[in-house]
Amino acid sequence: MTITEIAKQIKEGSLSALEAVQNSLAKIKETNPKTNAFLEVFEEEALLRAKQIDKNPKEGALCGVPVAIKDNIMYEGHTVSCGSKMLENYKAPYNAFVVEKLLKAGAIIVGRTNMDEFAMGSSNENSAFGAVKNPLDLQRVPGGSSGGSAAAVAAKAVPLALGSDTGGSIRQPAAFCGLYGIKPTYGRVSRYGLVAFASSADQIGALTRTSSDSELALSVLSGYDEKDSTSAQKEPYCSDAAADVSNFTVGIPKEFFENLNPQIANAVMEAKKVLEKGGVKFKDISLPYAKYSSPCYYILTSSEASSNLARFDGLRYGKHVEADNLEQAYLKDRAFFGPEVKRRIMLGTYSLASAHAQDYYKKAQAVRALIRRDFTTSFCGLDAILTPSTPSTAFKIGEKIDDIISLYLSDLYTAPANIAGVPALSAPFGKDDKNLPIGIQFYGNYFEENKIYALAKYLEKTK
Amino acid sequence: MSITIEEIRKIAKLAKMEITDKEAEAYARQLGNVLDWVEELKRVDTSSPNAVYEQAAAKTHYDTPVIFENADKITRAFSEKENSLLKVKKVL
Repeated sequence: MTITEIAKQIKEGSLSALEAVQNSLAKIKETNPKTNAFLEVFEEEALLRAKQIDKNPKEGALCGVPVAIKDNIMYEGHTVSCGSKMLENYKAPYNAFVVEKLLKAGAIIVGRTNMDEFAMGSSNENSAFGAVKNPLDLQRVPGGSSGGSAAAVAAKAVPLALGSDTGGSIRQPAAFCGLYGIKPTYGRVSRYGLVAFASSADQIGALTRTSSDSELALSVLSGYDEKDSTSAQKEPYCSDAAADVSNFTVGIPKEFFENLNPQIANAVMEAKKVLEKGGVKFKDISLPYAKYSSPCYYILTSSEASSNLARFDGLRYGKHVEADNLEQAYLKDRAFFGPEVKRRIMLGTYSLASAHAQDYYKKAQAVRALIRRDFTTSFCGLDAILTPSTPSTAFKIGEKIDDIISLYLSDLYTAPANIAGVPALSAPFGKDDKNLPIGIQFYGNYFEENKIYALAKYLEKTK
Repeated sequence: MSITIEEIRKIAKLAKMEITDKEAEAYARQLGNVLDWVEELKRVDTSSPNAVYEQAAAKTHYDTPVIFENADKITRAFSEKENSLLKVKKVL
């Protein structure tokens, strides 16, 4: 059932919130030993909240809907560990803006989902609490860093799970698990209460099984928040029923198809054919600087992370080990970071060190400006851009763990959206010869999520 | 672009992270590979006036201290405390 259906039935009384939560909890019990998607299930609390909702007037777009949140989103009184030993026992002192929004909309948060540590990873193999397995093939990764959220939705434990996306961490797991994954325009959804990884790229978004569920989730999560200084002064996102794809022109950037897996390229071309039947016009375009997005992303986000993660010293919060002096306290407490986190902090520290800042950080910022300009120029006369979501379908667990660059290149087609700040949606379309889902991606212009949803909804309707 | 184990130790020290000898060796190799990969950025011509990144104007939030209700929610996470104050080793 879609989120809309669940909420409707609960409001009408043909389904109780209690039943919805019990179904969700049963599914989690059945699937979680295999997938490790959830780090913690808030069973008693969710059942209590469901009973309260069943007694009271039923309101809210997500009334009684069981949802999951990624382990880097603050939910007051609950552990938020970011998949790290560093914060294993840390309890959130306040609710994230998006959690307040979920609760106001009547949602029932059933648990927190596993993730790559501090959101650094593309396979959910970097969690300190064990890897997540793809429910569609338990030998394979679900993608990352929002791997737990993707696995939770793909296993049908919840119809909605929140994730965060800094370089593709919602869209790539969405593609690997056959889901819709939205990274909103930067500033669309408040980052207040999201443990920061790279503040100029992070966005909270949603993983769902249908495009209209994704759109509904965005309408709930979005809206101006004065507590996030980068929050856009815009009303919450609203679905545009009038959007008509037959008036749309969509760009296909040639650079995204160089050396692309032929099965994935095929899927994108098939999607193009379906959209053409709906009247969509296509145009070949060039985004010449987009190919630098991945290295640019790794320099910039690692630099920001080295600053954002400086706060984790084990003193005000986090794991603490007794030490002789303050310096030793820092060194010993920060040893609790996993290897990928340490790697990126060091890459960031190196990039920002005065001897290198010109060559690395400042250079990457300049390239970022050029990538962004590619998009703003291309969007003149275009309603959206169509690309593949990922260079491959879900790879095997352990396959890339020693090949860092190959893992970093998983973000090849997704990172440009975070670099430029534009919205992007991964939609499932077709399967490869191993029966693994393929994701196609729509990029939209700033704050034009309505257009990419119109395209995704059209495709979904014709499936 | 190779990076020496000595440089790795310096960076780890800057980042206040303790790493073992084995880790230092591994990170030197891995970061060397990553730096090789990002070298291509140096070849991009960023001399044009378009290559200036400006973050969209963020609203300035003035740091006006307010009482956080129920400060216990914050202080209970302190590693060591005295009353509501965080206790740390000597700074100087």
